[in-house]
Amino acid sequence: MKLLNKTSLIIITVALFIFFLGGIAFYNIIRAMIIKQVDYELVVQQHNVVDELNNIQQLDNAFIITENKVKLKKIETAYRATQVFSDTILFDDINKLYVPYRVLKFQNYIGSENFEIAIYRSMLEAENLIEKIVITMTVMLISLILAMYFLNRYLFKKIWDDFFFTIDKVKKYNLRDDPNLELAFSEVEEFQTLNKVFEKLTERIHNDYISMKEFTENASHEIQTPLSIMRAKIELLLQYPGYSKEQIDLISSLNEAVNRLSNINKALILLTRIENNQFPETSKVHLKERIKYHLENFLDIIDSRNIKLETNLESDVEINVNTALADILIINLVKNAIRHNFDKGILLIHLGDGFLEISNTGPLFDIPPDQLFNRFVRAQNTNDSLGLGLSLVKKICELYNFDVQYIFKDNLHKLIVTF
Amino acid sequence: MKILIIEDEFALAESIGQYLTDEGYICELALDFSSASLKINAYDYDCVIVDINLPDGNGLDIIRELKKNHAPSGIIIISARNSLDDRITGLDIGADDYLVKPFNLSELNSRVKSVIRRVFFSGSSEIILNEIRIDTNALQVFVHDKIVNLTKKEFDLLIFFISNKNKVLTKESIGENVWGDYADTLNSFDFIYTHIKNLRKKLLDKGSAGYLENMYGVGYKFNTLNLPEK
Repeated sequence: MKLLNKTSLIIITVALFIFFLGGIAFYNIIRAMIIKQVDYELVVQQHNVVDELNNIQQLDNAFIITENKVKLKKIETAYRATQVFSDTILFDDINKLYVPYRVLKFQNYIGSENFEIAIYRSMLEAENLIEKIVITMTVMLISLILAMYFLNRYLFKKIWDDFFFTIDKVKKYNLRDDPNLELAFSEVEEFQTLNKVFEKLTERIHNDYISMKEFTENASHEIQTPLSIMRAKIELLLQYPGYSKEQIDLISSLNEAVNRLSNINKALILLTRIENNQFPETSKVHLKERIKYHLENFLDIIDSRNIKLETNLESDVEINVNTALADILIINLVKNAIRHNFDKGILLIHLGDGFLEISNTGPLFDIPPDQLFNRFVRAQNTNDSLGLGLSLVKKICELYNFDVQYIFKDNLHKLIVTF
Repeated sequence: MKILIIEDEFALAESIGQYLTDEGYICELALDFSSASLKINAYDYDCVIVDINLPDGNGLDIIRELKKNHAPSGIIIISARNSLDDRITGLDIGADDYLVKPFNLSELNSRVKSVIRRVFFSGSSEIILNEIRIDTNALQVFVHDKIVNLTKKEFDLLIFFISNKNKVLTKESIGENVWGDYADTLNSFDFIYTHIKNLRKKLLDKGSAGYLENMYGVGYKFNTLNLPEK
């Protein structure tokens, strides 16, 4: 949920809640105040009525002036000094409607007889007043909420503008290309602090990245020279005559290890160079042509393992990439399919509309498919594998936004590159 | 034939020198830019092997100097950096070949021979070894003047073997020389066995000596000395 929506929602919820409770309280308070006033008026009239009645000895000529309705009822019980207020509704014959009344009942002697006297005071005006007050208040509160809501939206946009600018910059920041993140000055102190933190953070990350990159590059390149020396010395060592079988085995395994090391190093350097964008030039590469060319060169190796090669290069996919990287991609995919194949296995190459699918038979392995492209991940039974071929494939695909995935289907390991 | 090896790493320079001296070349070493510069201005070399990264200068400047002097040398760059720019610049300013470290001495030797052939024997492109004659332009091989039909790979193999005759060649270096990138990480180099067997048979059929020897555990040798009885 967006911050703006979140705050708006909170504001509206709280406002409605307060408005609801406040409304009820307000209504009751006004009502109580009015009733108190009405009751006070009724008590005043009670005194007037009692005064008048005390002067009257007979009901026959009774003449009492009140602005309210007064009802007299003779009762048989003895006089009790009570004063009871209540609400009631009477039907108004003239206006044909029910009207609320406030009633005060008390007892008084007229002559020697006890009467219950009720004074009725119409609440119609009071209720109308309450209604009008409540409507006015409601309208005002709703306007207030709306004003708050729009003010919030407006302020949000205005104040958080710097923040969104920062976020946008950070989002677009590329560790590889930009040395430092440059953020605009913000008048809001908190945002300015945030900007400073971001700037410092990216600077540090960038420095770490650079030194890490330099380290890997330097390490790989520095290793090349001692490796060259080792290779050269082994070759010279091999030229001496008269070695025993054991000595030859020792030199031979030394040679294999050195070769392996130089292949790993070569692949790592290549990975770093792809990461460093050192293959910027691109041209139109006809995949069909390149695949045919490379397969021709692989034929000796494929034949030596009696692998059955089937190709289906139905469409000529043309991609705009670096030629050298396209070759590395194809070579590594095919190499992978040969290396992890059975002798007398099958290798299928299918170049379809917008995809390249390379399928091969081969032993099952227990590597989760998502880790297959990680560096130095290899199946347990393939110790001669470097574990870097598919990392190269992945890296090249990432560079050009190609999708590459592994599936196992119909007893075939399939690697599918979608262009 | 005189070769100058410009390489700041003494152990590597020495090894290259030793291998090439065995091949019958006269080798001189220069371990830094200034001594290399002195040497190329004082003497003529048939081939110059130059490392690009030198402690006191850039190997590419040595090549520029050689070209300025119109020295008739073949030039091979050896570099730890497999950078396309360096390669293009190097070849542009007149280097004949470019080899990335770590390389095999047999590979370097084969390139040196190829460069020398190109620079000094541009007219005749023949390699003659006893009864074997190779026309490198026409890609044809003759034994006792009878043509031998070789595949491209067998031809490449033969050139590599003859360039490094009487040297033990590992399966890896043979694989890398002839099959290049296609073989380098396959690690099983057994597939070269079939090709060497076929090459050997084709040569023997035309009456050549059995030069190709299998060296137990490591690789092969094109032996022109102490030929075994046929």
